[in-house]
Amino acid sequence: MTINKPFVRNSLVMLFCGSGLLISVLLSAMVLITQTRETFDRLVVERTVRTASSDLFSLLQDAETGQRGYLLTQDAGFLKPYQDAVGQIPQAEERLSKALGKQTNRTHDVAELIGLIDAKMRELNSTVELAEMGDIAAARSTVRAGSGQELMTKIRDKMQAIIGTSDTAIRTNVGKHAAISEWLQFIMIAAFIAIFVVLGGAIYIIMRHVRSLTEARRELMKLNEELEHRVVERTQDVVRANQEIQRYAYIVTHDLRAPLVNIMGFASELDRSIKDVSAYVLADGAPVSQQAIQDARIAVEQDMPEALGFIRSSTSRMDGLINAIRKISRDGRRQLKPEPIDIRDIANSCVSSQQHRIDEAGGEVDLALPSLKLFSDRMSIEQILANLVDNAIKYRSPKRPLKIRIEAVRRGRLVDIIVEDNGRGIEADDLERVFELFRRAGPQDQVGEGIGLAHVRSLARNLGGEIDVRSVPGEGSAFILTTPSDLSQVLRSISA
Amino acid sequence: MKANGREVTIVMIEDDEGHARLIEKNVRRAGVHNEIVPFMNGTSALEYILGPDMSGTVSADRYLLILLDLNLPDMSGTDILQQIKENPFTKRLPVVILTTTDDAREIQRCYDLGANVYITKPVDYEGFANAIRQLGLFFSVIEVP
Repeated sequence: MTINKPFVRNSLVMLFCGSGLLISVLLSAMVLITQTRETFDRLVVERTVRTASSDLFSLLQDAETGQRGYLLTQDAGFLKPYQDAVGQIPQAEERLSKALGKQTNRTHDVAELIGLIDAKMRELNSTVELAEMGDIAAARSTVRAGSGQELMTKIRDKMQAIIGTSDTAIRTNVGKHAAISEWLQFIMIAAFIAIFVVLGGAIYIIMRHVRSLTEARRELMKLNEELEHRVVERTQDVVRANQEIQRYAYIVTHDLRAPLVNIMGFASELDRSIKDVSAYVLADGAPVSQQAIQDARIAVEQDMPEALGFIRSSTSRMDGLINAIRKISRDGRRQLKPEPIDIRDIANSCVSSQQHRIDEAGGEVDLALPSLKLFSDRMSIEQILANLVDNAIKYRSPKRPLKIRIEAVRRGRLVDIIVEDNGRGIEADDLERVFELFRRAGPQDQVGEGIGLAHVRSLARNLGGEIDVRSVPGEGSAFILTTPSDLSQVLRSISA
Repeated sequence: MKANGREVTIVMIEDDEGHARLIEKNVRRAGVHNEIVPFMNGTSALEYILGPDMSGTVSADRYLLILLDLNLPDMSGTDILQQIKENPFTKRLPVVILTTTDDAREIQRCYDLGANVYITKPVDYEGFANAIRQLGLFFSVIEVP
């Protein structure tokens, strides 16, 4: 079938597109998710670095604040926060160095920072120890020397650098994260649209395919039905044709045999007459009885001419029959020539050609039929109408003036042409007989051989039509010719 | 040929003039000299046998022998046979069927309808004349009290 190829191609294309789209969506989603995790991890690391740095620096500041307070007041209460901070600093240092170790781009030297912190711690420790030993002045002078201040500034700068780097990294990564999220959203929407389009397309193609399949099936079923119908029709035609041939053969043999019987019968009569004559002629001088002379005379004067007359008329009758049969068979073989014709024109010309006979009978013709176009064989239709009108005139009723009515009705692909008269009518038993070859119905008061209607029927059937009759005896008959309005279709279906 | 002392009339229904002539010649030659009333078609023959009113009363005391050709121009011979055999006044009249066909079904149908003899043409004239004589005698047999 032709529908299948594009269907298979389209479905394959759709399938490839769909799966390609889905795979690319999945791959990009996976890549993006991996990237998200990476940025998230880095964010966590940078935040840990930042927190650790702040914690460490604030511990250092706590320690310095404690030291300054103690040096100012010599109050041991200030030593408590100092010692707490100093105790926690190594842990904070470790946390920071661990966090920095996780950083991907290590730009800051932890060792240097820890060295600075250690130096600061030593400075603090030495001043506090001096103060504890009571040498406040020495401690104050150490502070005043400014090396601690300097260290603290260096540490602050380092710390701020670390925090600045982390902040930058955090900002970058947050930006990246947002971008990735946007991408993911975009891809999801695109995937949704793509899936929708592919699915819609697939459904459309399948629907179209299903529809075309259904249509094809319906077509097939219709064809099947038509075929069955046509087979039945043809079978009926064949049966009908067969019956007709049998009937035809019966009539022909019967009617040909009738004159043959005459020829045979009168031949033996001739034979008998010859005997009578020869008894007299070949007497050769022998005495001939009066009876023999009489017989010979009758034979020569009456019997022999009569026998010869019957033989002659029988042979010419046989010849006539054979000619009639040949005429019908020739009509059956004649090439039909479909052409556009108008029933009204044909009816008009048919009536006008017989007008003088209609006038003689004092009759009238009702030609109130519409202009009806046919595509058929002109000669056949003309001959049918001429025969029917001729019959209507011939078998008119002597009791009333002749009236003929010609009608034509379109019935779908068929046309009914009706020739109705008010003639003597046909008995119900004879309705079929009138169409048979050499058969005539009713009183035999008209000349004719019983060929006309048989001829009409064979013409009608050649056109793919049928001739029928309905009649009320004593009141009139109506002959109905049903014929296809387009003969070329019939001829095509016959040759098909 | 007589029945109850009365001459039998032969009614011959035959549309072919030649056949009619041949039948008549051979009937005569066989020594049957009864009156022969010929008809060329079924309508006029039925009118004669059953009367113009088709009641059949005209044949109530007639002795007719009917020679019937099955193949007539205006009506079929079997129809005529049926009408004769269905009429109470004519059903006993002997009917000889003459036909050119020897179709077995047609022969059977004629006997079913009440035909007495069925003869196929071309006729065996001797046998034919003999059958007619016999049928003439038929009347006297039937009518003997």
